[in-house]
Amino acid sequence: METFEPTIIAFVCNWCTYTAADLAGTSRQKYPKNVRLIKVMCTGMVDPKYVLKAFLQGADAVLISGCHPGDCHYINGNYKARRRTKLLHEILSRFGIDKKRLRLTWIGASDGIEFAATIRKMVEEIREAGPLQSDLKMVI
Amino acid sequence: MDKAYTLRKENLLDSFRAFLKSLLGSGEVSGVLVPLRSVNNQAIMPALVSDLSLLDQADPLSPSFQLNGAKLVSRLTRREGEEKIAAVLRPCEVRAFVELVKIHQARWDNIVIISHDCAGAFSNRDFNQLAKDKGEGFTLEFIKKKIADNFDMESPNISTACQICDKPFPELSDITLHYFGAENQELVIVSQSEKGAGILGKIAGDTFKDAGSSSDILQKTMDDKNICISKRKEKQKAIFEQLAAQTSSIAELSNYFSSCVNCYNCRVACPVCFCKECVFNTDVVDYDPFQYSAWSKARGVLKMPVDTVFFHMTRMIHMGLSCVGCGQCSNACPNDIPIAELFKMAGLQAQKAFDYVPGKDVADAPPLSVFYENEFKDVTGLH
Repeated sequence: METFEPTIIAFVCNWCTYTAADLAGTSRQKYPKNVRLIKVMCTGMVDPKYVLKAFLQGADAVLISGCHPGDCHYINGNYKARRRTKLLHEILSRFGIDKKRLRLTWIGASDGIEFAATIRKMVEEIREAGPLQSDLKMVI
Repeated sequence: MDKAYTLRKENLLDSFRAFLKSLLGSGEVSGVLVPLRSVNNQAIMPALVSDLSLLDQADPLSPSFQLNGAKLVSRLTRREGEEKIAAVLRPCEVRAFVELVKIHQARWDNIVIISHDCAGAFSNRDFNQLAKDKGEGFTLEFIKKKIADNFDMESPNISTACQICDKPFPELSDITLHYFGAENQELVIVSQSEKGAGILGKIAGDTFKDAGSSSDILQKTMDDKNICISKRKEKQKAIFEQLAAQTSSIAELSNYFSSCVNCYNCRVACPVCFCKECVFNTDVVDYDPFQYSAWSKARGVLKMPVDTVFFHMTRMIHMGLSCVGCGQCSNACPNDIPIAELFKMAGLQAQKAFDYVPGKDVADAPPLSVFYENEFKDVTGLH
């Protein structure tokens, strides 16, 4: 049987997690190819709609990742992202999208190793959880 | 603490009207927004009354709830320094108004909010078919029955939103009019704010009289009120359980909305959907034709109109925290999708997570308008 390959959409902030992903690459860290990175300037600009749309268009999981609390280049964008993620968790879990399918992590610019490890762990988890919906055809 | 006044006329409707007349007649307010029965066609719509004699058509106790008045009050109060008016609102309308005040879409400084015990309402369709043409007599029958059965919501035609409403008694307003349990048809008038107390103090006199402390008077019906609320909560629980089983996945949610035609009436009817321009009216969703073909090819099929579930889930995220459970979304749906209970269920869960009760207090900040350094640590990380 073929192993299930999840699709993960990751919204990563320009200053911390994107830089960490870059570092992971330049330092030849390996992580699965299931993740699609979308660079945003700040996690505070990740509109909940982006997350909803990702899930409804077939993503099996979504990662939002940015600077550690206190390190946000726009002072407090990551705190806003945290409240929005909390809200999304509450609403999405009502409709069968488990909290582990939407993750929020803080990965600093120098944490290339942690970035690779995070993606590895997330892919493993979602592989185990299986596809989000097999019958999404009529939804959008 | 607060003083209570009592007013008793031929019937409750007359008492209600007598109160409004003495308020408008005193000159304390220049107009009263109140559901008014049209003499031409018996339709009941909110109207801003400035002519005293027209208050004889006021019918705030009928089970007609054509729209949530909070949006109208928002229009009436959006500028500073206008003439002072009063508005008669159901408790859920007051809660929606409070939510609008918080986000600066309405002002409370120059309006007197009058609320009253709410016996529930019919859907617009039911009201127009069953009750409208029967005129004022229907209201009096209805209210008499509701007082006798202690606002039992199981009675026919009461909308689902009202059946599961656990806040039918006003908690926040300037003046509240109580009649729950008033078998003798007596209206108890209580001030709930300084503004309300000032006005009642000035206009009390021949029409309605000082009856002592409000807590003494309201205490009498407290037990019955609690029974009424706990019955509603049970009903709510049963409906939510059924609903949760019915919508436990996105595919099931999609089935729930299968007859949605993306008319967005629910959004228009929603008192707390406040955006001047909704994102679903912007070019964000103005897709190019090739986009539709691409989506269709990717999956072999594309349901149209698109974005149905996306729209509803976005709305849940946008207004779920402020949902006051008025039920107007269900009322507005041309295809009778039971939206209200679904939004209330999802909204309640989110509200609990943020320890937020919409419409409770103007001072409570909407959860997405604030943030703190040390909170919700469990949201982050892989665990």
